[in-house]
Amino acid sequence: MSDAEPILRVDGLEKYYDSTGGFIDKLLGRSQWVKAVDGVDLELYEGETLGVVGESGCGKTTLGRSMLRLIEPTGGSVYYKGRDLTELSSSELRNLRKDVQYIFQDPFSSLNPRLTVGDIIGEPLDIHDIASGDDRTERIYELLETVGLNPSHANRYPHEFSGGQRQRIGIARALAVDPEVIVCDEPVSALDVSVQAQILNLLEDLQDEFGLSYVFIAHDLSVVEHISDRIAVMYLGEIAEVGPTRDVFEPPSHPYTEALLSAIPEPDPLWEGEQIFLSGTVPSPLDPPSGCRFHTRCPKVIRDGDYDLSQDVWRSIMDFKLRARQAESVESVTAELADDVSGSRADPETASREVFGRMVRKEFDLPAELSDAASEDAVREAIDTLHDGRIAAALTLLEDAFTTPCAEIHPTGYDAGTDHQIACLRYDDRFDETTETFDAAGEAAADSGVSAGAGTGADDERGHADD
Amino acid sequence: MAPLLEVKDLTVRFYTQEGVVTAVDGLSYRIESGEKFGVVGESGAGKSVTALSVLRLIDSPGQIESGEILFKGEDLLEMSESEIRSIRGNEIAMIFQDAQTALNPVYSVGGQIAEAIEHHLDYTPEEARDRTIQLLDRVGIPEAEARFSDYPHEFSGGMQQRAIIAMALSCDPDLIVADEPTTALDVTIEAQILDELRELADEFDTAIQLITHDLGVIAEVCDRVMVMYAGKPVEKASVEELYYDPKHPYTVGLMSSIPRVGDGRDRLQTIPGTMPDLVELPSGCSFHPRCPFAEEQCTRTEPALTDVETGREATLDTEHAAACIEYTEGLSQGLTYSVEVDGPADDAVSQYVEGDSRE
Ligand SMILES: Nc1ncnc2c1ncn2[C@@H]1O[C@H](COP(=O)(O)OP(=O)(O)OP(=O)(O)O)[C@@H](O)[C@H]1O
Ligand code: SF4
Ligand code: SF4
Ligand SMILES: [Mg+2]
Repeated sequence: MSDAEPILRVDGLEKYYDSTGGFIDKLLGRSQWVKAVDGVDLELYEGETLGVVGESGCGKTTLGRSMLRLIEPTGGSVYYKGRDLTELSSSELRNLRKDVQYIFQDPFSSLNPRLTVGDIIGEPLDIHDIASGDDRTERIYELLETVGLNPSHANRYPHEFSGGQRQRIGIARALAVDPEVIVCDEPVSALDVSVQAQILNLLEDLQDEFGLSYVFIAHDLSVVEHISDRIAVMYLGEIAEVGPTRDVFEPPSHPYTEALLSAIPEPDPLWEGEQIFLSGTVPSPLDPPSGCRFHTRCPKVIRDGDYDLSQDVWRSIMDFKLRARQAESVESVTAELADDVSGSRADPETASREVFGRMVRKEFDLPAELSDAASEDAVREAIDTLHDGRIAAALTLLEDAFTTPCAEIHPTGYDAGTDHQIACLRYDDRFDETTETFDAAGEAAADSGVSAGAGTGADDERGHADD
Repeated sequence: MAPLLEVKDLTVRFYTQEGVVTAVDGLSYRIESGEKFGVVGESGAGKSVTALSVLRLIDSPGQIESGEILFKGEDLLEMSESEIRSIRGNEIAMIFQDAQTALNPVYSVGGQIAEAIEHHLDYTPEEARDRTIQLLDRVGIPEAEARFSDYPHEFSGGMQQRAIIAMALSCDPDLIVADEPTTALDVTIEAQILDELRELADEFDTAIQLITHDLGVIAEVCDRVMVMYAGKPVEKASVEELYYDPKHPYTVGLMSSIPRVGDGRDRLQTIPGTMPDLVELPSGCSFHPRCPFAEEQCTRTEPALTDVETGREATLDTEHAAACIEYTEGLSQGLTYSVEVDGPADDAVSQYVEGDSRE
């Protein structure tokens, strides 16, 4: 597939929203940007479906819309058959909309309630001077039939249709101009499963019939997996992984993809797949984490080679460190009970050192004593310091003692096979798969099973230091 | 001892301008204490109305027309307004899909929960605060102490939903009615919240009536399940029986229309058409216009919920019941779908069902 020219190519696309607070902020020149889409590269090939999947707020819809300039991107380019959309004048863009269509998430609000279905579908025909008079009517009937609706319903209004039928109307409208590419934003998420299946089948049939290419945006991994040839997984405005559907899922490579996949509730009561629970919550796109944006939650965050610790304990130490960074007071570090006995909690501020230590370890699932002596010393010292009420000092201790490349180096998409890129440092040449550690000095690991990516691997300029 | 909850022959109607909507029609089910009971179906099946009825929260133009809702043997429908209020939030708690409506925006999250505890359990403010922080921590809210005084808008959607669960658990209820508690959330958060809900319910021995359109969620949490279609129960069974040996064509259709990761199907099975208008239900079996196995008699006879083993009318004790003529008079062609289970059933790798229409 990669031999052919992509029909649509997204290159370093950025959409930053200004969320600068008030007048004072502006006066002082302090600006704050929500990096909704932050340097996305994607390719869509003719006749294929590219799925874009990710959790709410990861920037999927912003990506879809800025790709077609329904909202103006703040950086990057989008090439349609070689022409840069971001350079086009508004009249050129209007013409191009004939080739590139967009289907909205919500079948309820995306159709004008005052127009008949016939006029809704006819509107793009008028705008682009495609058909008028009897031809127009003919074309509308034909389109209704194509999407499985009764042509005699052309005079009805949207409210007379069910959700699934309205989504069909939206599809008919998009098809009216005979497009090449359709960007579908959550086209089935408002629908019942049985109706969702009808629409997914319809989209596939239309693709075969008209040779359409789709960008299919959705939060539902099983839906995306079903319909897509290739999949891009998004996290906090960036592409975490992109590749052919099979390569992305069987088995999953990127730790985030793996977690997403494991979280799907399986309609099978005896299913015994291990669910991966992520730490913490999705960070704010206003102040995304340094290095790999997933490092604050990643179960596989790379360990420090100086210590001999299990991955779980390492994750717990990272959680402890992050909490110390965010905590406003010592008492907000832990809410755990002093003992397993329920009853009133001990106040972390007045608890004895011993009790406080137990509370902290319980909160973060840390063992009573870490197997590795050096790390046990560091953790104990941090707890002592916290118990003295010195959060900042405790944080410094933890940050000096426990470092991970994931918080420092921004991973680019490393090649992991044809057309498959994984933005995770575990696929960087400097990652040693046997010891599972990272040699930041740059010596390539001897037995790295991953073929070298194009370019230099890690993109260091973009890795911000921890703040 | 009386069962925890018994709903008998419940009928709820809405008197709307378009006509009379029978949202729930002759519904019966039982939930034992500590049991996790699922209610599944598509939009408009009457799931939420069922939940609201149990809390006696049906308002005009809606009306509970008939039936009994026995909670520990006492009919909620016979109780006075003050009696029902002391049960709501105390012995029966609720979790709704939309966390925003459940939390009061002008009070702090912790304050709201603590107040409920003080009120229902006669705790001192100090005790109530401690218990609240403990609960917030249990449902996975980080820095529970510091976040106690945060307002709802300072919580993310997932955290709001966790706070609602904490509130529901706060008075140690015997039954939690949860209507689509995780539908608005991302899968990674959903998985955590379902896991917590299930664990906490086990720990506190709380029964759950879990309402959802997602068969995956049911499989994860529930022991028994009822499938609803157009206001009526069409199948009732243990989860294992329902997923591996579904007896109603609608259940089969629902299962085969779900895409599953790795199943490699090119096309999904679908159920043609949509849920009928409840003002004007199709004659006979309400599912007949969409059913691939429908026969002439299905348009005339309304099938009763029947014990699939004995063919006798189902009771509250029936293990596996379905409402299809196949189990009463019998269809002339029978039901010809097949269920495929990949791998040994006890560690089923993947399982799906194909509706097999005869055309
Ligand atoms: N307040 C109301 N006024 C009029 N009709 C109502 C009202 N509430 C519910 N209904 C009707 O009752 C029927 C059942 O609705 P219900 O909300 O129980 O469905 P549901 O199974 O919960 O669907 P969903 O999956 O969409 O939540 C529907 O036809 C609905 O339109
Ligand atoms: S780079 Fe590190 S934090 Fe990011 S996904 Fe890979 S292992 Fe996890
Ligand atoms: S009674 Fe007839 S229409 Fe109804 S589910 Fe059974 S076969 Fe289908
Ligand atoms: Mg509902």
